[in-house]
Amino acid sequence: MKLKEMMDKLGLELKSDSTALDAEVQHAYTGDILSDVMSHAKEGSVWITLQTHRNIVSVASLKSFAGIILIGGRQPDDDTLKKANDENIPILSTAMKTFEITGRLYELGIRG
Amino acid sequence: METRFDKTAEILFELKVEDAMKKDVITVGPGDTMTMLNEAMSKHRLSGVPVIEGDRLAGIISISDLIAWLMSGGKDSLVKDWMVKEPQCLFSDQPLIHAIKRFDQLRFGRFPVLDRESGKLVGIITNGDIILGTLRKLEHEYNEEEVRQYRASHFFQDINADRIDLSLSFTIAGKDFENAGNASTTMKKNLKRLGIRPEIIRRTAIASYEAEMNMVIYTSGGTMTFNIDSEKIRIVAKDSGPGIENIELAMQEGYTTAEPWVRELGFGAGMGLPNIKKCSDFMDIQSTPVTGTTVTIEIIIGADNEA
Amino acid sequence: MILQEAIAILEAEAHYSKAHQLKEVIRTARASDFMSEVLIEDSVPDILLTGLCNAQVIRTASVFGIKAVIFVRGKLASRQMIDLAVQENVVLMCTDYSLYTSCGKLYSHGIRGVTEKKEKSVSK
Repeated sequence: MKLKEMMDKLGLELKSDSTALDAEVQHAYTGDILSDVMSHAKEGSVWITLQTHRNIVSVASLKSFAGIILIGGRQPDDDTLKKANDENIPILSTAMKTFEITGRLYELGIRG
Repeated sequence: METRFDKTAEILFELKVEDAMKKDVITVGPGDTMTMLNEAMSKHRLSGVPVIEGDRLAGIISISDLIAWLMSGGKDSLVKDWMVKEPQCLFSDQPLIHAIKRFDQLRFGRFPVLDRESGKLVGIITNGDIILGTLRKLEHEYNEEEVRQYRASHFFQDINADRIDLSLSFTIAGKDFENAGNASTTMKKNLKRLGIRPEIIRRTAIASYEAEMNMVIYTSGGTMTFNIDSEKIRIVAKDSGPGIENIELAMQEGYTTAEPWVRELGFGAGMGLPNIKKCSDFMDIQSTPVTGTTVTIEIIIGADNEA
Repeated sequence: MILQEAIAILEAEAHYSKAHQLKEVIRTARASDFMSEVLIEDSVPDILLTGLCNAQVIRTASVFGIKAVIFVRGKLASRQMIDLAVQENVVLMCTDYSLYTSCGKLYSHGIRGVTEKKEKSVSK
């Protein structure tokens, strides 16, 4: 599934200026501990987290993630947004909490 | 709320066969006569008797076997000719729920109970024993609960003084992440014993836990004191430094000075102090680099606490 | 569903003090690796899923009134954590599935996120 399609189906809001919305969402990962994400998430994942620090962009870039979904209506920090635009990493936002958005994404057929 | 039914179901899992069985069992030998058995059964009003040979269970003989013998003419005969050999047994350490299932499956009136290790007969159990055992336990727990509730709801009224002030103090070790939170969960139990309303306990426990975690994570340790009177719970968390640089900033949701190790453990998201404020009716922070930080939290118990 | 079913769905190992705990009905869940994030909410979920594996998860559940915690991705609870869970009457479950997959499986079996009573203020 393409990132754009996922955004439409889940009603996600695009926060960054990213143009990489045709990226294929191959997997998904849920977690807030950066070292866990680094060691366990698969490339091509969309990453669900509550972290808004700019380090999330570094992790997403290193792991070649398709995008980051911030939960609970969180906004990325200013320098996170700047870095995301530089690295062309889409940052999306949802009002849903982690469990709910994860469940909804799973129902769309995306596997971990 | 837990219902009575849940309570009973729970008891059936908790009680063992040995808790409900009859322990002083009247037995017969395989070589005893049926006439002797007849007398023993009517004298002791028994419906079934285990048959013991040496120290092993050889069989069981019930009132229906006795009737069969009487119907056949009641001639001189031995127990071993009429008993049921190798009967179905229960072990004394099995949960009572297992016994109920066996009664239900096999429709027997009684089971001999054996010790699992030695294989020796240690008791006998009937459906009636199970009911009695469960009722006894229920009654016991009910009484305990009543006493506990009475004690709790009358705690403050029963003490005659101009002012009651219950004070409990805990020493909190800095950087001891494993044991952090112990004071707060202990206090939660104490407040429960005092019969404080659950909603008040919850707010107190959360505020206390956040304060305790802050002390463990950011300071070299300190003390937490809980004062409870009939109106409010007051928590004073006092550490020995290093103090909070900018209290106003620290009170903002999401602001944090947590080091990476703290965040790796799932804390330091900058929610602690805001959450204490949210849970409390009064909150005050005093902090200097020299004396450390003192956080004072108050939660009003409220008049409608008599549960 | 009841906890027993969640254990089966996640093929989890469960630690608990009383058998009736497994019959508890569960409807709502939270997933987080930050405990304060859970503690600051108004609504209490029935279960908490987390990638963390430490005693504070159990204490958070105890303080907040959460019935069960689920440690994901094959993290094993230590003896002390199991003892603490038993003492605090919190069911402790360990599953090999990731946080993503665990949430997904429970969601597809009808478990939902806790509904918030009000919009939270958003922090920058």
